[in-house]
Parts: sequence; structure tokens; C-alpha cells
Amino acid sequence: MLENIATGFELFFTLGNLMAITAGVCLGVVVGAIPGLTATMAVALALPFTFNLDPVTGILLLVGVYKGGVFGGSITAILIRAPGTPAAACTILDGYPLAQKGQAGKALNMALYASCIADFLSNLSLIFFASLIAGLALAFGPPEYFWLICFSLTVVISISGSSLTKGLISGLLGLLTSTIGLDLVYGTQRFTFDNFNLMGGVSYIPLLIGLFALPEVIDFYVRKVAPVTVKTADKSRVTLEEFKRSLVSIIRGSFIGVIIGTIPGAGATAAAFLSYGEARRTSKSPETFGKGNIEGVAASEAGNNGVAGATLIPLLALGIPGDVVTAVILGAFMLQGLTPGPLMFQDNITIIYAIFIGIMLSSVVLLGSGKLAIRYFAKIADIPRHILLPVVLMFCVFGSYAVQSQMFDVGVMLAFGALGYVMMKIHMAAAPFLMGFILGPLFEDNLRRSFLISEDITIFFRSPICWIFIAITVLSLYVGVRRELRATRAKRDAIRAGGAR
Amino acid sequence: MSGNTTRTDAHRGRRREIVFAALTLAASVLFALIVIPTGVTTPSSVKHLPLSPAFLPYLLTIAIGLFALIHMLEAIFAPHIPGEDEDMMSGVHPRWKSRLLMLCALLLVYLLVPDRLGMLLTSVLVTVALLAIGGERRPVILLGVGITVPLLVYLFFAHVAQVPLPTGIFEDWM
Repeated sequence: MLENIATGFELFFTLGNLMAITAGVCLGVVVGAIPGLTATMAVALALPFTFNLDPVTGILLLVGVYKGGVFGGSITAILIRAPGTPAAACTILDGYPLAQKGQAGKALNMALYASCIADFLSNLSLIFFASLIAGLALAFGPPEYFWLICFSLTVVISISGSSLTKGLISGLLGLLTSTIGLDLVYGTQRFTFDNFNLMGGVSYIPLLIGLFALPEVIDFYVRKVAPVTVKTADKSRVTLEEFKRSLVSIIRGSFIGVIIGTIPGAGATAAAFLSYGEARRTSKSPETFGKGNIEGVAASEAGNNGVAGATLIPLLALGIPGDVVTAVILGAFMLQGLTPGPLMFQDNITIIYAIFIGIMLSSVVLLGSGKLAIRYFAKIADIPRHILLPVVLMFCVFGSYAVQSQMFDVGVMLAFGALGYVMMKIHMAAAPFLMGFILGPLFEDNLRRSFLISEDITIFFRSPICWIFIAITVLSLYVGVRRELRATRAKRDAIRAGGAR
Repeated sequence: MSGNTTRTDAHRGRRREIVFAALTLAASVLFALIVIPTGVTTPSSVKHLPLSPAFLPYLLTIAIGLFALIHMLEAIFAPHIPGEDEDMMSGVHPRWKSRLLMLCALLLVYLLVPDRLGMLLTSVLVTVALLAIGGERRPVILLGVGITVPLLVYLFFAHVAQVPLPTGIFEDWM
């Protein structure tokens, strides 16, 4: 084994590999920061460059792009409320309010630290627990997935904002929107009204951009004075006390990311929201979440970056890609004549070790390139809003169009922008809508697949995993609703006391 | 005086929440009675209710209606929280209607014109117009930002990200 590790080191430590991982992370950060260009797109763009590279160099380039892309998405989410990647949508909740308070530098730095720590822990999990976690993920069938999604949906309570009922309605509207398109079982139409563009459902990126970025643009032109302007990304730094306070959330979020990342199809966005929900639930001051709590930024970033290394677990251990990015990386492996899975650990173990070393190093590279990116991207916050927002709108349009190269997606973005603006005006949180929209297809798919396996309802209680998720779903609902009701009661008492005076 | 203002705010906020809940409730009824039956095709071979394509839409619509009802009861009976119900129209620009109208028109230009004029030219026109609406009067910024930034963004998307953007009248040049 030691000999294999030594060979792995030898294979890794070449100038080409170091350059590939550095270039990959930097490219990923830049592309990830552009609204509409996701980490998936960045990896797909980098794929052709790997054709003529060594297997290790090529794979590390793609892994670097992926990891950089996941972090990069948070930069514009914090600065201009336009998440570069879907997973960064949760970072908006506290990152953007912090930027509005003139603490963009602090939010960006915390996002970077949380991302690097989560990424590092995720990589460690990949290296030490790959086969164990992959085995656990294999035990998940449709009923187990169904309960996992139910548990994830309970996060809606935590991100509902000022009104629980409005938050729940928002989440349900998101779920309803996710049903648009062709039915997966029968292939019949649902709310498409013979429109060919809607057959595949509502595109994810235009919806995301429209819901979060466009309302800011509209609001700027409607208001007399922009109510809140992003102040200069000052020299504010994360204090040691803030870092210590957020560390528990970062570690917990990292492991949530690892678990969610291991399960194929669950995704980084769900992990970010789950981590955020847990941080808020366990916080001593949950009312400050959503108003610029640095712990909220840390938790959401830890959640989505915790997924990055873990998605490689089913890929490397079982040869199963967990999401689209790992599917592209699987393609790169195959182009190099390698087949990920148990056999690769026997036949190409030195390559595996070299990749592991590179992946570990990527966390350090991410820290360096992230610092550099923050320094330059943070200048965006200095641009006057009347100049910045037309450019943001342009990115919204280009980013939406880039998804499928059709103007219909621009229309979708504008429609959801209008909806997002109305939601902003009536104080209805947009995050539950997004959560519902993301988890909707998984929820329905696993519900129906369970019924296809057996029409007996007992299938939903068939395994200990089901029972564990049922228990934590019920517990999460109970705790969440009780906390919200207490908060409402406290506000009511405060008003009554004010009125009596 | 301030007590009266608070009470008026509270009254206005309560009314707004009731209107929101009533509209949501009406929309859910409309959805259940008209939109789902016409918009969802259910095959006759469906054996089990949860397998029907209409099952989840109906379930969600009913849940939305239910929560709208709860919200309405909440709005009627719970004391209003003034701090959270800032008037929708407060702090608006004196010419907000014309500005909003112009913004909508420019968004429509972004949606309808690129196929003819090309994405680059459309972006230049819309960006310059938005800068002007936002109050920018310096020609250097108007033309500098309005032309350079769309050009750079266009080049990045078209040549680096390999997105086939509409070229419009520049089809032969690009």
C-alpha cells in the first residue's frame, strides 16, 4: 500500500498537474461567478481540453473547475443577489443583507473559509469512507428517497421569513411549478398547453436568475432612492470570535453536504438549504437569520461545498455518477480509457491515489484563488447601482439564453422575475419556492416509483432508513412549527404591551 | 397621533393580508376546477390514484387553498405587526410609473428583438437606455459602458462559452 501511495505521489507531483488544478480552480471560480454559467457548464467547457492530457492531469483539471465553480457561485450571490450557481441561492439569504450593511468583505471571506473547510472534510470523507458511504447510498430505494426528500422539505419552515403560512404557500407553489412538463410515467402533458418549449419542464437557471436577480433591477427603477445600496466591500474581515461561533455550523454543514452528496441526485442546493435550516434551528438567535447573520453564510456554503468531494464517492467507488457534473467527469475517465468502480481500485490504484492527492490540494488552491477572486470581484460592490444593474440585467439575459440557446428561456426568466418582484413586495420569501421547485421532481418521482414497485402503502415503512427519516421529519416539523409559533406569540405579546402603554 | 398612525398601518396591513389570502384561495379554486382538468391529461389506464399525473397537482392545490384559508384567519384574528408591513407604495420614485413602463418595454426588447438585431446590438441599445433612465448623463460612461461591456460579455459567451448567440444583422460579420 505504501508503495502505491509513493507511486501516487510521484505520479501527481508534476508541474502539469499543479498547473491543471490551479487553472481549473481559477477558471471554475470565474465561470461560477457569472450568473447563468454553472459549475456543470464550466466542467463541460473544460472537457475538450482534457483529450490530450494525461489521465490524472485531465481529471484534476475538471475536479478543479468543479470545486472552483461551486465556490464562485457565492460571489455574485453575496454582492448582487444573483447566484452564479443554483447551489449559491441559499447564500443570498444572509450574504446579501451583509453586503447591504457594508460587510461584503466579511461575507465573502466567511463563504471562502466555510467552502474550503467543507471541501477539505468532503475530500477526507471521499478518501477514507468512500466504500462505506457508497454502500449506504446503495441501500436507498424510492421509499427511502421519498422520506429523505420529505425531510429536506421541512427546511421550508426555517426559510419562510416573516410568515410561516406564506412561506409554506411559496414552497407549495414551487412544487406545483415543478410539475409542468411531460409526465414521467405516462408521457402525457401537464400544464404545457401544447407548447413545445415547456415539454421538458421549466428551466432551472432562468427561474433562479429571474426569481432572485431581476426583482433587484425592477426595484431600483421603481424606487425613489435605492432603499439599500451595497456599500463598498470594505476591509471587514471575519473575526476569530465569529469564526469560532460559525465553526460548528461549518462542520455540521460539511457532513450534511457529504451525506447528501453521496446520495445520487440529491444535489448541492438541497444540502445548502438543509445546512442553513439546521444552523438556524440550533442557533440561540434564529431571528437574526435572513437579516445578515454571518453564521447563515457559513452554513449554506459549508452545505453546498460539502457535496463537492462527496459526489465523487459513488463515482469512484461504484462507477455511478451522482449528478450531471460527475457524469461529465465519468465521461472524461472513459475517454482516458479508465472505468471508475471497484475494479479501478484494483487495476489503477496509483492513479486513484494521485487523484486523491490532487483533490486534497485543490482545497488549498481554492483558498488562494478564492482570496484573489474576492479582492477583484469585491470591486463590483463599489460600482454605482445605476451602472451596475443594467449590466446585471445583461448577464441575466445572456445567462438564461445560454442554457438551451433559446429566447424562450429569457421569457421564463422575465416571467419569474415579475413573480419574484411581486413576492418581494408582499413579503413572501422566494427561497421556499426555489426549494419546492428543486425537490418537486424528486419528491413526485420517488413517490410514484414506490407505488409502481408496490401498491401497498406499507412500502413506505419497509426499512430502518425509512423509519429514521420519518422520525427526523416529524421531529423537524414539530420543532420548526413550535419555534415559529413561539416567535409569533412573542411578537404579539410585544405589540399588546406596546398598545397598553 | 402616532397611535393613530400605527392603527392605520395595522388596518392597512391586515387588509392587504386578507386580500392576498382571498386571491390565493380564489386562484387555488380556479386551478382545481379549470386549470388542472384542462391542463393535465390523465390516461384512462391509471389504476392507482397516486400514479395519476393529476394527483400531485390536485394535492398541492388543495394544500395551497388550505394554507391560504389559515392565513386569512390569521390575518383576521391575529394582531397586526406594523413593523413588517411597510406600505408597498412608500419610497417610490415620483415618475415610477413611466420608469416601470420603460423598463418593461426594454425587457420586451430583450425578449423580442435579438433574433432580428442580434444579441450584441440589442444589449448595447438596452444598456444605454437603462443607464440613461437610471440618471447617467456622462457620454463617456453612457457609450463606454453601454458599448464596451456588452461587447466583452458577448465575446465571452460566444467565443469562450461557445453559446450560439443570435447575430441578427451582423450574421455575415460574426
